Amino acid sequence: MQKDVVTGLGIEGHIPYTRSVNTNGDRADGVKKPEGCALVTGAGRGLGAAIAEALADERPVCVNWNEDADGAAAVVERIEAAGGRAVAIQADISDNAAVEGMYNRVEEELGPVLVLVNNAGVRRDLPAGFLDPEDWQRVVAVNLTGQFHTIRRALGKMVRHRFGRIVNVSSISAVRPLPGQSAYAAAKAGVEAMTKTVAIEVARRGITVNAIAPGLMNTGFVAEMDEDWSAAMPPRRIAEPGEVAGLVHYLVSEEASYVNGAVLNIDGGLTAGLAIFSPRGRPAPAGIALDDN
Amino acid sequence: MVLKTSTTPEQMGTRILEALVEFGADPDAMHPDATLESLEIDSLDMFELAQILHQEFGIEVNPDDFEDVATLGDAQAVLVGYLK
Repeated sequence: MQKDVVTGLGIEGHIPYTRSVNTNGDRADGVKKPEGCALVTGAGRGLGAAIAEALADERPVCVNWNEDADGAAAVVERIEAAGGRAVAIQADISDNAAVEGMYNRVEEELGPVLVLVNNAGVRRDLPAGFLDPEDWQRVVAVNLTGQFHTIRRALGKMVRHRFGRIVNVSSISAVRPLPGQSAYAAAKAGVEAMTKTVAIEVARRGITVNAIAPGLMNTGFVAEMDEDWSAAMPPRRIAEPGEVAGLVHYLVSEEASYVNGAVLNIDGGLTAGLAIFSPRGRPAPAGIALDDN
Repeated sequence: MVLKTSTTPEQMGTRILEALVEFGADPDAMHPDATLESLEIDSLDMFELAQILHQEFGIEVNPDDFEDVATLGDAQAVLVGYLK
């Protein structure tokens, strides 16, 4: 029996789309959905929460968090209320031992991680001359090295299952940085290079590795800004997290099996034209605190 | 994971050959002097083989041990050596 389903699970601001599936969750053309769960890092809030909820219609989800325990618990609650299955697991992805512990637990509770979305990130935006080396290290450790830790641990099971989907969250800052983003932009540029490298290493085992590069999204970071950036965006609005989650939902699907090693901008067209410095030609606010995506 | 000490070199050798065939190596071409390159076994295959040996025998393969490995016989010697 087939039906049209709306992806996403009622996330505020999510713009849903429909696709045809069988009621048992397998594809309408009869291809069996690969088993395994999804792991979304930094999923206690913002984009990560939206992605975790969007993916929960396909498979169990591990909601990784590091600082926002209440947020992660709320995400799990919403997924379960919508009929999905999820667990929240705390781990600082910059710590390889913590990542190992998280994987051991999620494999025991939900099965192998065959979908990995590397969303967790921190930022410390200051002009390079003011940026402490410790802050540089922290930004690179979470945004770049942390993604390596989770990918490295996931690949063994993905290779054995002949299926895997990895989506790394980059940023338009990787190629269009704002002043103050030396650490963040460098880490995200590294993410894009790592994405392409791993993509060509494992492609013939049915694994795809892609990156997305969002522009401004309606998350906690934007709420902290004292300027309205909407006017600087070609659509005259910033993205809702659910819109970006929809792209991730596609990239982890069977239908996206030939999309590999790509960096997909999802920025409303911002980087298609001339770089826009700020609504008033001033640099972005500096001194943003360390914060998950 | 604990090394499964009851594993014999013969059991492990058999599993290695099975895995290489699964990866696409020609069974008729598998003799000790055959190079991994001639068998079309590459680093991704070796990575997956390491996963199999870890999962099934509890062996932690160190990629540095394969620096001088060129032939199937070389590879089997290194891998079976983990049992000692």
